[in-house]
Amino acid sequence: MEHQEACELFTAYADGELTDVDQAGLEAHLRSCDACREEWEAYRRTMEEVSGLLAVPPPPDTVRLVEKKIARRSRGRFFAETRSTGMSFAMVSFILVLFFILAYLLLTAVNEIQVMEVEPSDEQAGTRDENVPSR
Amino acid sequence: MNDARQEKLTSRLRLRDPGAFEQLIEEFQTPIFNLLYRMIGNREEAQDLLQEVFITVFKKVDDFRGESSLSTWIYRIATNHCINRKKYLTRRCHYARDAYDDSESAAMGSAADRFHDRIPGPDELAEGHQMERLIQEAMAALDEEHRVVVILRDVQNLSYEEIEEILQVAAGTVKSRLHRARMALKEKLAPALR
Repeated sequence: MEHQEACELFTAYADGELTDVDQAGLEAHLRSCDACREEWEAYRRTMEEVSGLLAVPPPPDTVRLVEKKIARRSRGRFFAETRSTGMSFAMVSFILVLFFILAYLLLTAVNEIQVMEVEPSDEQAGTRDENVPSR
Repeated sequence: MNDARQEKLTSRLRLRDPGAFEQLIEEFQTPIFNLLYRMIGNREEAQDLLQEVFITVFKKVDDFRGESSLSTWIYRIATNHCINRKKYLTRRCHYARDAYDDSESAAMGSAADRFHDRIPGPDELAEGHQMERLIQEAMAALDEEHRVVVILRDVQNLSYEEIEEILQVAAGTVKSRLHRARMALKEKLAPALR
């Protein structure tokens, strides 16, 4: 096994993903090659140091900061599902009242138009009657 | 957090349950903050990004289709935020690779101490800080695609499958990036490890 070939196997070896044959081959090479053994030792220690990095604690008030930001950006609407129930009821009531007012106005207007349309036709009918020669 | 709990939490998030949002932050803030901190190398930027990550999660939770686990999805959002923030910082010339200064080191040290079960001696502490700093510098020198893989695998201890899903790359790509990242770190840390 060549030096480069051995190094290429380090990651799979560290993760236990080599086949039995490859693992046996690499281990035999590491026993006989000082340079590769040193490389492997450095690789192993590097992994050990990196995985040994300690967790850094996040800022203690993340929840509050995030909620504050969300509330500001959504203008308080984001977490308002339960609080908005009253609001939405008021909105629905307002929309319904508005709908009935508009419907009433519309119907009234339609009636007036119908009345206005009926009156001239009577006049026209009267005019026609006048034009009929009297016997 | 197991799959069933994640599904339950997702449902509650969709209902805008404030308790669910609080639970989500409590659950994920430490791993996500650490990913961001190791990626960016600056505590303040990482804190700001952490908030942005959660805000994105809350905004997009209705679009989350559950094709991956909730945690994988959050990690993906976090890595995307990191990439975008680094691009932004590079454009604005505010980013320096050696942003990890002594004050950061001191902050990290005090934080680290809280996580220790025992009290390290002064020499050990100084050595630990020095190594931490060297590792952070060595990671900062890696390409972004190599850095993220080594952080997810070796620092966050995620599985290859999870990393594939987070980065949306093939298994072979994850493994080859990880190998190159570890070899590069080995070269950079070799003098300190002798």
